[in-house]
Amino acid sequence: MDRLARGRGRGPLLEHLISGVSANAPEEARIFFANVESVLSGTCSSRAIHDFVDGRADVDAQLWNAAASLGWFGLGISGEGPGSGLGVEGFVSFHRALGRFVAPGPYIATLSSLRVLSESNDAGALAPILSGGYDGRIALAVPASSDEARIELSGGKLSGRIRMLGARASAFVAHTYALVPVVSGDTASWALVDCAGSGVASGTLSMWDRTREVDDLTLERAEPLHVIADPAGSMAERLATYVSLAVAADSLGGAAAVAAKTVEYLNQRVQFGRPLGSFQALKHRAANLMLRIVTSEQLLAQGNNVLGRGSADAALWASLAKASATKAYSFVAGDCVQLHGGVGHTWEFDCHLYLKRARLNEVLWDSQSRAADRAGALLMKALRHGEAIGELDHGA
Amino acid sequence: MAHDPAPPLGEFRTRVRNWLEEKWPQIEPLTHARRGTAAYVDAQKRWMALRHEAGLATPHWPVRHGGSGLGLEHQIVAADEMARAGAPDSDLFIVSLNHFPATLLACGTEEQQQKFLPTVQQGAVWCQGFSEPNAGSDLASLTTRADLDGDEFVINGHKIWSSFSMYADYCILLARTSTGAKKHDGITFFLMDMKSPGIRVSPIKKSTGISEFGEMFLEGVRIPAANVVGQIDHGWAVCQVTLAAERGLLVFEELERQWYDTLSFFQSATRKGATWLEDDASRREFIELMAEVQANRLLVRKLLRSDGLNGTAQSLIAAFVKVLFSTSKQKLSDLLTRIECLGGQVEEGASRDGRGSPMRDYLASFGHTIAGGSNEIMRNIIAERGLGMPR
Repeated sequence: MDRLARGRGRGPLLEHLISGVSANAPEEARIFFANVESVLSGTCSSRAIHDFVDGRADVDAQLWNAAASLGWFGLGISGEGPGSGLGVEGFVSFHRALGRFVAPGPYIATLSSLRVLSESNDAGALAPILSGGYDGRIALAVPASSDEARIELSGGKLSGRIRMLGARASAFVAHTYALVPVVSGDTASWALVDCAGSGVASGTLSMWDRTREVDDLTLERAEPLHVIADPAGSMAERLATYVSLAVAADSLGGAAAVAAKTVEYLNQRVQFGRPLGSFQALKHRAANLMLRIVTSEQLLAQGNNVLGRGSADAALWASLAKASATKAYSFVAGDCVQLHGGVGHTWEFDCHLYLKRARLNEVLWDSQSRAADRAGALLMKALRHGEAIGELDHGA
Repeated sequence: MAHDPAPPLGEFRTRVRNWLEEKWPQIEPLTHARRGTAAYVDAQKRWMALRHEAGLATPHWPVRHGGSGLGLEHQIVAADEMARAGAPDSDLFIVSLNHFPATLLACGTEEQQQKFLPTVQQGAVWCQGFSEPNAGSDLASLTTRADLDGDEFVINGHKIWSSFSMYADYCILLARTSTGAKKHDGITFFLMDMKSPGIRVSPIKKSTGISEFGEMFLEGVRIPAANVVGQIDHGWAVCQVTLAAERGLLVFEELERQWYDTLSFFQSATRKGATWLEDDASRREFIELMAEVQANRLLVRKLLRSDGLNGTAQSLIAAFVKVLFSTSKQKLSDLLTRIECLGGQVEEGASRDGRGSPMRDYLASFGHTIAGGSNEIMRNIIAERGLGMPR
């Protein structure tokens, strides 16, 4: 108990992990994210998330409504509310914040789709979504895995089956639109389809991670709202880039949060007459968590920066960030269960929430190996064309 | 070239690049010298002379001490360009260029600075006399003695792991001048002339087969009291500055080299259609490690630009950089060794003309995970200072 009384305080790293908001961000962003943190702390407290996961509270609806009324969806669409103008950095920081609280809601799919559609050359792509102003009335869904088979387009109708991230028509949105990859003969494209339209059926898959939704979408001669041509696959690449960065950010937010909770636990829990955190073996375990997190953070920053600059190697770094961050999150969350001892693998404690979120993140969109292969192929292509890879010092 | 007041960065980069190109016929042969040979020492000294000629030996030093007063961003550019070009490193001068000047500029008197800093520009090799057989991670428990005799201190003791001590002209030395209640009190920081009588250097052979560091036996070595840096008995505070010099540009240049080497290795494997690229596990592991090297480059830039942060935050970033850099080096050389299969297990002899072999790099990598504050000590620092875990 003497060691506890001596009290070394939390340490700057732990403070940083807990606070999550970058001191270096511009004023506008800091204010915005202080606001986001404040709402998330209230709506998505540990107790609230446990209630949500146990089916006792509609936290997803509460949060989505707050997001809409506070203009957070500007993070997906420029010109719409306080979130707009925060750029890629804002998009990334937002998902990091959600990850810290394991917040439920189809944000990854919605915000990534909104950005990709608004950046596409197809003026009609956003029309079905924006008509009447966008205020979160519409949620979007994207393929849960890049491995899913494309939907067939024939005679103007869509048919096929695909697992989507968040395609159930939710109670708290007016519409859910699925953005599905399409093939027609040899031609690739993407289609927007109303999940409540005729010929569309969605069955919710019961996921280990109850904070996200993956649905089995079946299309039988369904009419698309809009078809966007993507012959060169550039829209697919943009979607992969945004989803990868969102998942990476979610992962690092979650990893930081569960690591912080775990270190606090270690510093307080006393066994053998001393806090667990005073044992060197556990200090090294905690340090190893930080080493993984800090490494992945750099890659996320790299992905963030290159995409923000409009650089050609954005997809490469987004893939690497996703692979690194999700692997780190799974490692960290798993070790945090172990570091908690008995309480670590109970339903009641938070660890399993993070662990399940981590495991789903690991396979969302690209698996580890697919992400590495995607990055490897992009790297080889760039090297063959004599492009500069990973340049870091642009001032000179 | 770099004697002008700080030129704009882009212009400076161009000048460094042009200088490297112009001098390449003289520089390139110096890259082939094999470590652990007299030819290596000679090559290192020639390279230092070339850098000195161009004002690139000590560009970051204050102008009054022969530097160009160039700031951090210029140093980054110069280090980056040298790494890109594949110019030789300056390992023989690591202490001369980093540990020694950082300490003397922060803690030395004006007279000491005037007398000793120019030795570096004259090509002097400095070594470090810190660790002892019984004082490694626990450096403060050192027992080499310094007893005052008139206006000189008499040194008796035994140092170990002193890199390039067999070639050194000078040594920064820690010795105990008194025994107090705490082991950190009573240590004094000295500047020692390696030509002094009573110094015997005994090289130690590394697992790589070369002897670059060694033991120093000190018997009745006399050091003038004027060569004490900082206060007598308060050398521990001085050596904290020295240890902090391990961070920063030193690692930066190594990381830049690691990046360019990794990229060019991948490029040449792609061109040759190397078989390891067909092996999913190896290819994926390589991509992952490449990403880690890039992550480390980003982190070291944060470290270099961390002057606005407090000392604890800086020492934490430095601890991260140290562990991550040394671990990546080990993992990469480990992978490349495996990729080479049986061929990689053949000790190179003359066939590799001074170019690294992955197995040698792998063996040498333990020097980085163990020295400069072992990775275990770094993890203690991260946990205790960073996460507030109780001692």
